[in-house]
Amino acid sequence: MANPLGSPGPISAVAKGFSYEKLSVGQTFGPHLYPLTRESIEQWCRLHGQKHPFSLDSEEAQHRGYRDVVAPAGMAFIFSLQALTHLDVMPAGVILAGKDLHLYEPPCAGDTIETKIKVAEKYIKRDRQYIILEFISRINGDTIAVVDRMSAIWPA
Amino acid sequence: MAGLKVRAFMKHGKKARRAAPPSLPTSSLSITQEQINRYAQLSNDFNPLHVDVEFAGKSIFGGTIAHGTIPLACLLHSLAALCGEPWLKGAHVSAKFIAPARPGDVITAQGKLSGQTADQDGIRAVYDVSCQNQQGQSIIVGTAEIAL
Repeated sequence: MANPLGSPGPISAVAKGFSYEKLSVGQTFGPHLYPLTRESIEQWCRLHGQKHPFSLDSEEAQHRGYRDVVAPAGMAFIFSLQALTHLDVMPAGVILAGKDLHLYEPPCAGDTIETKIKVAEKYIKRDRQYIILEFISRINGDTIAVVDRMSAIWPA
Repeated sequence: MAGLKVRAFMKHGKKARRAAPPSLPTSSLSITQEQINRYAQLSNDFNPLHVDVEFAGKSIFGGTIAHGTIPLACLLHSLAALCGEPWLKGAHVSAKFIAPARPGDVITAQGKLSGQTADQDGIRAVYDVSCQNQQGQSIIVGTAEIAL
């Protein structure tokens, strides 16, 4: 069955120029800018069945002291994935092995999330090529919202 | 915990907890291919393992799998339910992905208190956390440290 989303389908990592060997520890990518909107927060909440009023009701959120509706913590992964895919860091078929997440200031609708990626580590384990990427996402290029370290297995 | 003295502090205009609850509220999420597809659109992650049935069928997984961050978000929701805020300021979550979540799975996130400390800002609690599917198979295991 064809890809239901109509995307081009699997593309050879080599054909796209991706190479595990070419990535070096300390190498950086970005920044990628992601505009956080009420719509994307609402969409995320609907997808996950979450109904926290501070994420869905601007008035409630502002009464609580937030600038606008607040991104749920799980949206931290959206910031990282948006940056990862737009900055073309890794090929398709990567397998997620682990996550280490530190959450700081809450991002709100109307903020622009600026994410930079750094290659933190590379190692071989049981004949598999592992890579650890560190994503630092800042609110409007200033305060840190989240530091997300992702460990992944490079596709064979 | 025996011998632990915890002082209650005023925090964000409400009285802080005296002790962390022994377990997290559980959260559940049903995984469907449609949800995976919509998550791909929201995240821009169209990894064919998630969205290309033909490609994924030939992979080691034998079919499409959910983005690992979907069940992990379910776990964060449990933590948020405990904290009363959607964003977990000051939290540290460390997780390993043990097995994939697949369309048709029902994922349940849970956590058990493994330790807590108190300071002038309140309580920091550490939970051993996990996500399991409907067969009791672990999908994710890890720890979560949160400020209460």
